[in-house]
Amino acid sequence: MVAMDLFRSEEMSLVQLIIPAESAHDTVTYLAELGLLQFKDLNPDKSPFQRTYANQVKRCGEMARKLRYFHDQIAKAGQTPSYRPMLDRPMLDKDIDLDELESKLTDLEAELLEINANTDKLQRTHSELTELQLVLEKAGAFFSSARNAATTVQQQRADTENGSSIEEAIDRPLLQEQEMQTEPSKQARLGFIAGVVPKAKAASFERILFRATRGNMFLKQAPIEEPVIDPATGEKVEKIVFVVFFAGERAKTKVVKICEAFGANRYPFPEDPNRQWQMKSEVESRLGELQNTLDAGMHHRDNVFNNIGYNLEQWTVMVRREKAVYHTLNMLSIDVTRKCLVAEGWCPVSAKPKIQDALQRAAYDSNSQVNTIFQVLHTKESPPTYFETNKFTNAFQEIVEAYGVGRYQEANPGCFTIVTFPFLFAVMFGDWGHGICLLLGALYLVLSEKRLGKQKLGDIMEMAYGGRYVILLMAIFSIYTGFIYNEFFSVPFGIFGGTAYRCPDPAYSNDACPMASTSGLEKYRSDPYEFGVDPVWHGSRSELPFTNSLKMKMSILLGISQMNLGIVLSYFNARYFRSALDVWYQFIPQLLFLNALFGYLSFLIVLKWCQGSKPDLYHVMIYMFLSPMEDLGENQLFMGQTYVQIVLLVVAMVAVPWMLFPKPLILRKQHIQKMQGRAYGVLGGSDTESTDLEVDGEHEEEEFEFGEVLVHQMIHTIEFVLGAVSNTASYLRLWALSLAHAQLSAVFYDRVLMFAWEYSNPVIRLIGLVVFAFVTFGVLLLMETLSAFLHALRLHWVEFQNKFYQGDGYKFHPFAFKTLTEEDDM
Amino acid sequence: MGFFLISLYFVLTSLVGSLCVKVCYNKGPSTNMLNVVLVNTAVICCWLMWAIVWLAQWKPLINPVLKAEGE
Repeated sequence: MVAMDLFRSEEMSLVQLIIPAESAHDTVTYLAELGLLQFKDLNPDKSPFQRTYANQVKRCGEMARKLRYFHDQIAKAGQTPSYRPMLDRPMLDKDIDLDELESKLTDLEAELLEINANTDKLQRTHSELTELQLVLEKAGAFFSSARNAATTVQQQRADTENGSSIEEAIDRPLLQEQEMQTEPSKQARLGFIAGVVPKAKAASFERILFRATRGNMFLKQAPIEEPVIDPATGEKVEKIVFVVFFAGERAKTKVVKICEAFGANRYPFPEDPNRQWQMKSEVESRLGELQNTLDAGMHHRDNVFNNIGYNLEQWTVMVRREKAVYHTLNMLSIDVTRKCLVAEGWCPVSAKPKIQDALQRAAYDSNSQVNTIFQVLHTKESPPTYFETNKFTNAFQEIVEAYGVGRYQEANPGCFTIVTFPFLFAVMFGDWGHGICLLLGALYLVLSEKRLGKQKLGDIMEMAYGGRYVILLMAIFSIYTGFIYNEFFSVPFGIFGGTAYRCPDPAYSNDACPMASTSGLEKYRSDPYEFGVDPVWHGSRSELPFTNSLKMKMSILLGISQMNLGIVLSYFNARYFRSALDVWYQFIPQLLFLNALFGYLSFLIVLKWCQGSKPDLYHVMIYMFLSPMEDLGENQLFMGQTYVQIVLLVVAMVAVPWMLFPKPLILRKQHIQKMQGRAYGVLGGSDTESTDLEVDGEHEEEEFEFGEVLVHQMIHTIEFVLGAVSNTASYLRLWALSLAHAQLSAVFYDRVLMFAWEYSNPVIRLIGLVVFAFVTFGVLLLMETLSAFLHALRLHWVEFQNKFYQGDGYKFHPFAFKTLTEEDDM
Repeated sequence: MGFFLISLYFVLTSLVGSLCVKVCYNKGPSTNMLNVVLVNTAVICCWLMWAIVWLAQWKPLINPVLKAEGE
């Protein structure tokens, strides 16, 4: 028989490689390109610093840091350099050596640091000069306006003196001449400081100045229209130009200190207008020069960035890979005397030829004298679980493995989950209108998967993208179950032939039937509506009693079917692992127990439907336990039902101890026999095995604790017996969620859309339509999808998988370049 | 009887689907087997649900009682 894909995990073997030291690096690189070997850490007791290649790992880390620095710098400069197209195998690009790259990176980093330092310095000078220029301009304006005012006053005075010396002599201030004389000396003592201060601090700056000088100062300020770059921080700040006038040396020191405290930059400001003008032109020319230098510097930096950016991606990947290779080399054990490295690891048996081929190529390419030795080890250690999935099966396998990675080679629920998971989802989400909406979304994701796969998506989008095929199948099954439930946004359609019901009085049509609302319509033909639920039920008074009964029974039937599938899979497991014990003392009693009780219930449900009889199935099931001998009366469905029920009850009762006791007892017996036989049987098998290498743990004593085994079996049995009841009941969630979905969509349709449609006003109708669309999208398509998804997940993880799935394996993580991510750089 | 006729359609779907997978989407024996299992599981699930609904409506115990005007 052909083995089925995905049903059993790949056969794995533990292999040992003895690699000559000179070709070790190349060998590991080639194996990482292949990506089919999981290396075992052979030095688990050594710290990262004690390992052979710790130094190289450190160097790679340092290089990765430099590359990150370049990346940040380029991003900060707002550049998007043209990336060189990625080579498929950058490691084999022999023209770049790692040492060469390292020195190159060091040089580049030094260069970049120097450029940055120079640019910073120049930038600082530039902003200082800009501020000075502003000060000259603004403060110059104060002074010239003040001078103008002063000259006009003098002019006026002169005019008045000349014009009307006699008349206005009385008005003339008495001290004027004295004032004029003392002015120069006073001027000499009045000092001032000009500068700029951030606008936000200006008010408190003024207040403090005022207090510190006890009011003996005069502050003149003018805002700068555009924010200027602060020389110290390099940020753009809104600032004002100020000029403080004060008297005396002490006041000056105070003002200077306050300026420093407020981060106000002081600038020299000559009083003489000529010198002001001279300084202004000087500053302007220097600014121009500086700008040129800065531009040249920026140009140079951009060139450097372009050079780096062109190779950055490539270098990053290369360094990441090198680092991973050295990490892996660190896991090998080194044999100093023989100058070779020993590696152990797991690989799929089917991949052995590929691995051997890679080993040979590596040995050839690294000009090694000796080939790598490749041999298979035998071990009792459990191998990792590895499924070769494709983009379609991957998401389903992940759903299974989110619960637990399968034990090595046990039956994988994944290959049934691919269908049953979306199917159970659809049972809860049955509406083909909603299904089509979901299908459109899924189709978008699937059809643009190439484009979406390349770009970085958000968390939620990433999840939807990963599960796009799951959503696709969910949508297709939802459309199918929607047809079965006959719901299209909760509207029924009579696509598959007309309804099977008509008015008892054939003279009337269904709608005009006078008895329709009292005794109801009657079924007039033997066959029901051919496909799905008859549209006549929708909106009738007996809709809920009918659909509830249908959906409840359907949940039980589907649940029993799925659980039986689970038990059958446990048989496949038992057969595969050649455990007759599990077949006879686990699989058979479990199958009998479940079907004697709930299989029988399913049988009764179907029988009742076929007969159209009215027995109470609750009563039948309950009294099957309470008083099995009693006559069933009108609840009898078939001849001899009482006897059948007694037999089934006995079978179920027997099945419990059958599950519980034989297995531990037989295990104990086998163990005792083995212990007795050991004294004689040692010589037997060892000859043939001597050629194979043996690994530690081979001779470990098998401990056998009877009590432990018995308790384990007891727990298992109790879990199964109670689980048979509770799991069956758990499947009723299918009914509950499907009911909730149908009712919610009916409410939205009736109360929102139909309500709005009763108005003839197109605006109200439009509003109703928009609200309906939003509610349908938000509640039914998002929230209901999520809840149905989670419930389907639970039904698979718990109710289905606990029948056969151990889920205690560990996943196969081969060392492969393509799985390395950016996080590995850290 | 309609039940068996339509069930026959499901069987035919299953056969055609299995054949299609083997002929039109041939990916080697082990993958084909998985695909055949998938097709058949899907058909069985769909048939099961259809059959349940069909049987439940075959000999109904309650009749649809329409809502009176204005209800």
